[in-house]
Amino acid sequence: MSHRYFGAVAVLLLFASMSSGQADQAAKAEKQKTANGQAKDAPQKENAGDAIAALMGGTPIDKEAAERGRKIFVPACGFCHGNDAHGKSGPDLVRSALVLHDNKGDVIGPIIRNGRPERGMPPFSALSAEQIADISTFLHSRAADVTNRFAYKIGDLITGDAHKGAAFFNGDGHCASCHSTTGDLAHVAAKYEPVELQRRMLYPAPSLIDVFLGRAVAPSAPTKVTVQLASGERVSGVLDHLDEFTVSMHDAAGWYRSFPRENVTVDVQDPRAAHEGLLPKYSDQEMHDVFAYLETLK
Amino acid sequence: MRIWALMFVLLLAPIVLCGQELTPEALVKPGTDSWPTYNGDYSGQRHSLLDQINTSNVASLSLAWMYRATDYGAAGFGSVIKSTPIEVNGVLYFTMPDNVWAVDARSGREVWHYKYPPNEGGHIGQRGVAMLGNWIYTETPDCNLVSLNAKDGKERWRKQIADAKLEYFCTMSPLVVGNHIITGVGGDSLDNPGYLESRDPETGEMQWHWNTEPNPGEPGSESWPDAEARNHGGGMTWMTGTYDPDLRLIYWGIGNPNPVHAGAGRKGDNLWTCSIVALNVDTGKLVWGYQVSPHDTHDWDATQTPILFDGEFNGKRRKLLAQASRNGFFFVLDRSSGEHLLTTPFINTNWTLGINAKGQPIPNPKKEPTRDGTLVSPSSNGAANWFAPSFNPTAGLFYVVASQSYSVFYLTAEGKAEGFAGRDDFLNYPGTIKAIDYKSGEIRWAHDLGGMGSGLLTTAGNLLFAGDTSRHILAIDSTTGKTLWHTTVAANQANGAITYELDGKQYVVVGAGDSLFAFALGGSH
Repeated sequence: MSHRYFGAVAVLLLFASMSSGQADQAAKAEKQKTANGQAKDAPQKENAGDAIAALMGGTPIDKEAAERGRKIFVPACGFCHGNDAHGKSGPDLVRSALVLHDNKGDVIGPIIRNGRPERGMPPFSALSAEQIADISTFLHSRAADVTNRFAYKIGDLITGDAHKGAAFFNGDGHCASCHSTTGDLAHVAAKYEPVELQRRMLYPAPSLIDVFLGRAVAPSAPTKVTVQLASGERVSGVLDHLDEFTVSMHDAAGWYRSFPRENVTVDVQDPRAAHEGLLPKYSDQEMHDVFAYLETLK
Repeated sequence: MRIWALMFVLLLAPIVLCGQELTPEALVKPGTDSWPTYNGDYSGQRHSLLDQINTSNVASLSLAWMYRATDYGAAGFGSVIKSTPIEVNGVLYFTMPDNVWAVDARSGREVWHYKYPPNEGGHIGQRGVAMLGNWIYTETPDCNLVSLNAKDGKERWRKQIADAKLEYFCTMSPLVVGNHIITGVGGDSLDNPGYLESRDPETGEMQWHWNTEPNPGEPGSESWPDAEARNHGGGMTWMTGTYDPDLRLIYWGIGNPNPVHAGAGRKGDNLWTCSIVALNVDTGKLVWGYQVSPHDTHDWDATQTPILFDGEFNGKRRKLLAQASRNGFFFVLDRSSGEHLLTTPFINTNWTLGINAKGQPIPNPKKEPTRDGTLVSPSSNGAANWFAPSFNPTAGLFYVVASQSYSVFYLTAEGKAEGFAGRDDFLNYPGTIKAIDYKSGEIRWAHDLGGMGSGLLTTAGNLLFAGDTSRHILAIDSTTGKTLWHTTVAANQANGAITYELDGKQYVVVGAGDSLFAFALGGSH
């Protein structure tokens, strides 16, 4: 009743109307957009899953009722249905049609109270209507946990060899040609959650989810651009936007300037380019090793 | 009496000729004055024979009209026009979740607006309506098939086609063939089985039902370890298929298996997930199937339009089917038999150990999602997705919006894997039109769009229409990939363009944000 759908298309549709790989530009666009009026108001530290569920217009789960329900469910039902309701000798109740149709015990209540003797389920006649409603909320929260992938916890990322990672950093990866572990990367592991650090190591841009939710996160490093005009004059600045027809920047004096591309040559120094060049080259082991090395930079 | 009868017939004749009904025959051979189905015709080519607008004059293309939709409520993420409008007898019919509009195809004036009641279904997108006779058919977010009167938008009936409480949601434009309304379903977050159904156009009652997981004992059932895995195996059917009227076969791209990112509990190929299938349209029986991603763990459904065309392959003329699939590979099959003809990558993928004798990519088990992550191309969003591809039969080129994306795939499930059971963290999100020679898979040209966002249309004017992610609508030379015309609109194009000719004027219509924009030579004059 209250959980949300996060179909195969969901992620795509989150981003389909966004403005591409240049995530900082997308962030700008998204902040101006009032997709649902809520995107820019999303709390900064809130779980992304909750924020997205709210954006989708779902009824939020009453977490206190779900916790009360869990405390009843585990001793009474967990032995057969599993403490997490995934099923053991008894059926899985997370993706059970009966449970998914239940509202505060109207479907599962009679089954709990009367049991299903033909299937070996005893009656639990002592449970009150309120207790059964709490069990129902707990089971709906379990389904919500499963369906909402943006609430999934990603962990246990540090499996690589930091020494090999250091060798890659200073060797084949050529990371040291732009970065210094005592300079720009000093204490970098203290700055980011592991999953965030791993992503930024591979491709230094905010996550598309954060951008979509309008969260305040560290932006991408600025991209420098030099435009050479037909007259030979060169104008340099920080890239604002680049597409097939127009290039725009904020120049050294802070003024916005744009140029039709047909009349100029454009030289973009994108700090992400070297990262992008590494993506097809990394083995997973190298990725884990470099990440393990960066994680030592607390 | 005879004279009366004759007069009666004479009186009736013009009425019949001027009727607004859409017949099953008109769907088999649609005129260039219409765009009566999601893909314009049954082939899925999205290629129009119109050439009034062509490479020599497209530079003077300009705005004929625009229409901004209003009062559409909380259409969720779907509050942009992702639907491909259909155009029948001078009226456009299009959707957003919970909303259907009829708009004058010549002027953009609203004819009617139908609103479906608020509901808890998945408001992710809505891809359009279908029409037969006087009736419009649309799927709702909470999975009802609704029939509306095309004259006034009044609801005739609604029938449940899937149980939204189980996390199904419905977005696709139904496919009308004869007296069949073919409906597909979506929703892969809670391990539901996918299926296709045929519904009666008059009553909405079910005519046949086909499960994407084979029943016990049927071919393909052995590709699942047990009934539990098979009954919760996913395989959604959320994109409109194509149809061959001579073979009486419908062709459908089938979605990914469930649990999405955890393959351990469903060892085997998991048929018919990530497959292209051919079903008899009258019986719903499987005639052949071809799986493009055996045992998928990356969310790469094979729902991209299977485009039909007749052409030469290795010196022999054949009835062909081609798909640029989400997994990064382009496939050509013989659509009569399902015989495999060609597999080539259209981006650089890193997830296979090679191609097997049947032409299927062999998944590298080391690239399955793990706790610490695997770096995989493409991302779960895919090398291609629902954005409509196009095929130009004159050039022999297949056009697709391709994405050289990378992502880190994580396995997250604790204990029993259910639902997605993992997630990928997107790195980049590029989008490039690629023109693929169907005979070789060779990429003739590529044109960067900045990102993925729009579908494609080609015309006999040797033009390809697309939207980039900087709010431009582009007309591109379909032979060279060079931009010949562009304009800027209020938002990124989110659907596939359509074209039709009325009163001697060719229109091109795109959806961007909550608005439709129509272009013609000389604009509104």
